[in-house]
Amino acid sequence: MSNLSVRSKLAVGFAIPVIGIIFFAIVNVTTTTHTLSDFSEVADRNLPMVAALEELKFEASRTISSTNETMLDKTLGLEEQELEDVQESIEAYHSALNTYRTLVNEKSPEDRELLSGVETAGQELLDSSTVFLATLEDNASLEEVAERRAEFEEAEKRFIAAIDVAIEKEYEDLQKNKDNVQGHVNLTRFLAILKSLIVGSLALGAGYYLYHSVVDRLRKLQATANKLRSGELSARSEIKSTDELGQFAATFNAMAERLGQMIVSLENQVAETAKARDEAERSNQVKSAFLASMSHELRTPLNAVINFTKFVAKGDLGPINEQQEETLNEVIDSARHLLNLINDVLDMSKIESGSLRLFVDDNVDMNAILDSVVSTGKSLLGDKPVELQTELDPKLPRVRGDRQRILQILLNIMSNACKFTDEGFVKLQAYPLNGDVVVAIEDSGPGIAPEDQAAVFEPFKQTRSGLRKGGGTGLGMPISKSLTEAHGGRLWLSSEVGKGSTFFVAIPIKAEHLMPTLTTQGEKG
Amino acid sequence: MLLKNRRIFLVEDDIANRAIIQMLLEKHGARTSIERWGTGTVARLRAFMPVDLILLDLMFPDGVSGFDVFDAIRQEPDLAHIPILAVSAMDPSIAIPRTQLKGFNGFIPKPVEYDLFVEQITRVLEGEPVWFAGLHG
Repeated sequence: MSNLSVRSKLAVGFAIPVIGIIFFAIVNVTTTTHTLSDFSEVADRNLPMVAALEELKFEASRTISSTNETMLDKTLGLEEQELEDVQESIEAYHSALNTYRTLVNEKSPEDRELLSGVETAGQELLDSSTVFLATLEDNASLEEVAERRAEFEEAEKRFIAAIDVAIEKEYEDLQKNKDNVQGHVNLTRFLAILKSLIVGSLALGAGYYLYHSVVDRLRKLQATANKLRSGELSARSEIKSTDELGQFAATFNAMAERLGQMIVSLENQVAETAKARDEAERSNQVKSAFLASMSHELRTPLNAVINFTKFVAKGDLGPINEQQEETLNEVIDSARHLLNLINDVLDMSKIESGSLRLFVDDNVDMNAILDSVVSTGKSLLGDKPVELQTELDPKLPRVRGDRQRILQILLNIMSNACKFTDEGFVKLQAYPLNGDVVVAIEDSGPGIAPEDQAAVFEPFKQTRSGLRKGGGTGLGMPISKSLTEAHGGRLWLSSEVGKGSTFFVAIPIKAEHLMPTLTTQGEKG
Repeated sequence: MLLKNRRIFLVEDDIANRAIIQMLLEKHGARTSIERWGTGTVARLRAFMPVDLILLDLMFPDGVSGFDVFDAIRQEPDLAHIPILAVSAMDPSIAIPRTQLKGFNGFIPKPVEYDLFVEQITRVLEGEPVWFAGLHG
């Protein structure tokens, strides 16, 4: 049964009670029709018949009694002749007989025998009445009168008997029909109750069956769905039928399977991503550690070179002549340059591996930094016919950032400006603007063509003039840009060939992504 | 001669650094005693008294930590008053917070800056803490 589709089951489930109702309706109509016809029989035949027969009897009785009256009057010597009454009643009798005859012929042909019996007896009665009455005219003897009278009485009895037989039969019929009607009514009532019981049971049965077949399985499917929802990914429906619910269950299972696969696959991906991320982090940490130690390993010997050489150059180990001093200073310059290169390369590595760490202070004094920048600029310009101009807001707000790095950025830009400007001016401006401190360094140098401007911030790219001037690592600008951006700021330039360049640095006063490492005190670069 | 007659005790293992620091300090008139770290170091420190300043590295061989040496010195009641300056190659962004928490009087990274070192020593001797992260971060 579970291979029938749910639709069919529903159809059958509803059809059966409906058919039951229709069946019983037909039966009802049939029994009611019977009842109606029985009733019609009674109304159209039995009752008129009885009425006709009673009428007949009555008219016959009238005939008899008027005959008797006439005889009596005659006998008593009364003069009144009642023959008209007799005639009248005879006519009435005939009329009633007609009615009866018509009824029999039309409605009850099987009573023709009875009819002829009544007719015969009636005719005899009339005849004997006539004969009896005739004796009055004829002055017959008393004996004849008595004879005729006896005949008349006999005819009367016979007629009454015949009528009664007919009437009796009619009443029997009537009773029969009455019984039929009663029977049919009972049947109808019985069938109505039976119908209610049967159809009711069928409907209940259908409902129960449908419940079992449909609702029960739906509940099971719901339970499976709940299991899935609470994380039991292996939950599957056990419904295996081929009807709509079975198909749904199969689709449901397929969906659960797919979901399970997707989840497993996603979990794997997440695990792998986590692993990859951990590896990348480890690799980064290794790199950072390496860079940190390289940083120290490379700088220490160079510093030793620089420091020891300085000692000698300053005459701390004994007097030296000018030539010796100059030579040693060259050594120091080269060592310094090498140190700068190492620092820049290490900085660049840190930036590119994401391991650059800022040393954040909440109270970096921009004015102090700018003073250093200015003095460095002056010494870089030396004797060149370049004027160093300043327009510095004297009360610049303290910024949050890495003091040393901010100095590095500004020194880098300043040294470029001073390096590339042979005549004219270098102007240093600083002012607060929109939550930033902006430093602008303008020079009257050769300027940078638009197509070269992007390359300014790329590692190891120097313009031709830059290469000619020498002394740079090609890393200063990219490092400065990264350092600026690490502070949440911006570094950009504005330049035209032949019209000089202006570099802008904007450092946020209170960058929110920076966490102060500590508050430094008494720092001076 | 910024450090005339100052007595400075240095615990330092690296030869080059020892030489540089010694030369710088003595150029400015300081008296120095330089030791490697070992079991007799505290005794030799005591023997060098009065001491105006101790310069202490943070990383020693055999896993010895400058912080432990700091504790060892500060435990001695007669030595507890001497300012101790950390002079170390440890990453300043790690070392400075730690030395501040510990109670050092300052931190200077190695290798020291020739032009700044003496002035920094002077400030510490005058009671001003110096927390220097170096010219390159």
